[in-house]
Order: sequence, then C-alpha cells, then structure tokens
Amino acid sequence: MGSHSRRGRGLTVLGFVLAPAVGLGLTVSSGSAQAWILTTTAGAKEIYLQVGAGTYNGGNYNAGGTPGVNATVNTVSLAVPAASVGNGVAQAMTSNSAVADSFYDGYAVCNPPTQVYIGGWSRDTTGAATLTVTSPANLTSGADTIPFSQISWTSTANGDATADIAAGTFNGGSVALASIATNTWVEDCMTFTYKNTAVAAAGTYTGTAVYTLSQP
Amino acid sequence: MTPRLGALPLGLALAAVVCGQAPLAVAATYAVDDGASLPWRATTIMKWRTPGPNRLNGNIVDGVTVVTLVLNTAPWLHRFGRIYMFLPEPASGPVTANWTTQGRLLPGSLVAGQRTLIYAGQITTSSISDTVTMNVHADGRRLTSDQNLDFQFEIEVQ
Repeated sequence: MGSHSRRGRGLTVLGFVLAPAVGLGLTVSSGSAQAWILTTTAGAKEIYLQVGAGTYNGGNYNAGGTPGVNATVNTVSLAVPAASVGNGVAQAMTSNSAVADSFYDGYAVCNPPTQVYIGGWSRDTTGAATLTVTSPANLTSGADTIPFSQISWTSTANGDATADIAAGTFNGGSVALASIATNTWVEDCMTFTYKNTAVAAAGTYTGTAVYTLSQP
Repeated sequence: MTPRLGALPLGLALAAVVCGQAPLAVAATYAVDDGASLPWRATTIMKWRTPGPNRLNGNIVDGVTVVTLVLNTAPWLHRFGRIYMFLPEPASGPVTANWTTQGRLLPGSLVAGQRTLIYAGQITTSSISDTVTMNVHADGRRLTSDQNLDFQFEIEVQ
C-alpha cells in the first residue's frame, strides 16, 4: 500500500514538471527567403450625380443595378400672372421631373413635380467630393433679363428630417451645396421658388443651372 | 525513517518517465521558404464590390490573383508536418483572403493577423507546390494606396 501511494505522488509531480516541456512551441527562423508578396491597389475612383431624371441599369442599387447615363435636362418653371409681376409675393415653381423614387432602393424620396430629386455619391479615398451649382447672372428673354438670384430653393427629403444638400439662392456664379463623404450616398429634393421682386417685360425667360460633383 | 523511504521511490519514478518521454517532447515551428513561388501578376487590381455605396457605407474592395506556390520542405523530409499560411495585419486595416487550390494544398480562408492550415501530413517531397487562386477583400475607404500583403508560411513538425 505504502509503495503504491508513493508512486502515485511521483506521477503527479512528473506531470506538473514536464507539462511545459511537452507543450513547448518553438518558432525558429530557417533564415531562408520568403518571396511572395501580393501587392493590392486602391479601389478606382467612381462618381455618380443625378439631378432630376437619372438612370440605373438593371434595377435599383440594392437589387444589383449599375449607374447609367441620362442626358435629360429637366425644366423648372412658372407663369407669373401679369397682375402679379414684381409684387414681391413669392411664387412656387414646378418641374417637369417625374422622379420620386431613389435608385438606391426605390424609396419615394421626392414629391414631383414640385420637388426635383438630387443625389449622388463618390468613391474616392483621397477625400470628400464637392457638389456645387453654377448659374449665369440672368435669365434671358431676347434682350430682356431677370436676375437668376430671383430663384431660391429649399431642400428636404421624405423620411429624412435633416437635409444633406443645402438650401440656397442662385447668385450668378457658383453655390456650394454639399460635401459628400466618400462612399456615402446623399440625396434630397429641391423645391424652387421665384422671389418675384423684379419688374420685367412680358416674355419667356430661360437660363440653365449646371450641377457639378467633383472629386479632389 | 519514513521520510527517507518515501523520497527514494519518487526520485526513481521521475527518472524513468523522463527518459521515456524525451523523444516525443518537442514540437517546433519553422518558417518555410516560399522563395520559388511565382505570382501570375505583380499587382492585383482591387475593385469595388458594389456598383455604388449605400447611404452609410458599402465599401468593400475585392481582388483576385493566381500564384504558383512553391514551399521548400526539404529540411523536414519524411517527417510529419502541418503547414500554415499566415498574413500579418496590414496598416490599412482588416483584410480577409480566401483561396482555392488544385488539391495539393488545402483551400481555405483567413483574416489578417491569423493563420490557416494549408497542409497536414507526411512530408514526402522536398517541395510542395500548388496553383492557388487567391481572393483578397479589404476596406476600400482605408486602402488608399498600393499595399503589400506579405503572406508567410510556417511548418510545425514532430
């Protein structure tokens, strides 16, 4: 009995002492060359801007659609009654855009024709993209003019209480609308208003505002 | 008397078992030379996974390349070994990789900073080679310039 008891204690001690040695892992450099290094590039720059009509091919983005090209130039307009010309009462404008749904997921972001969709995104690892709009100094009708600054817009979107694209007024130059962080889809809806403080001759006054999304 | 009688058998038992365990005691890990490996392209072009970001992100870039891996196993010929692929975590953030093989090595996947078993068994040849199709995935927001992924290989032998 005494002998069995002592042998048992001996094995217990042995396990404790040798366990670190049995489990020891050694990392030893062989001193040899290791050659395969995979070089990866940054993702390519990509950009998308839609004002009014736009195109996504193959469905919405969340269904695998891909951005396309749409050359449509939408028109925002109003007819000021002769008795109201220049009376300072702002007039709501309307558009010929029928775009309500986002190409992101089909959600009804805007309420056309009073609202015009504006949205875009940028893939650029060097910094945020800049969205601006530029306009000439005047709307023109032959030799007659109305300052472009008579037109302002508000910005909002269904389901989004905070506008990402700024409200503002055309100024005959460039107006900053948004800084769009890389890999972020931004969209809003613009509602245009004619200030109606200019007294102008009868006619159809036109002008083109150009929206630009640029990467660094 | 009792203490001395107890101490002697304990010492004998230790000596006997240590001798019996010694040949199996140490498993070691060694770096494996892959210097003869041949990538089919020097650079892997990373492409955005989705055709546009979602409103908050959607930022994964993917790349694929093919490499003929040649692992020099001559130092461990006729021994049992486990070979692992290891990818140190790059400064640009999380990278994952998954690959297929022609059958000599194991297909698998790994996250940078970890290692994955690609071979287990007897080392019967002085080198092990296979053609590997490697897919790499990274965060496109953080991958702002060319980045080197230094795949490494190590073997555990018994």
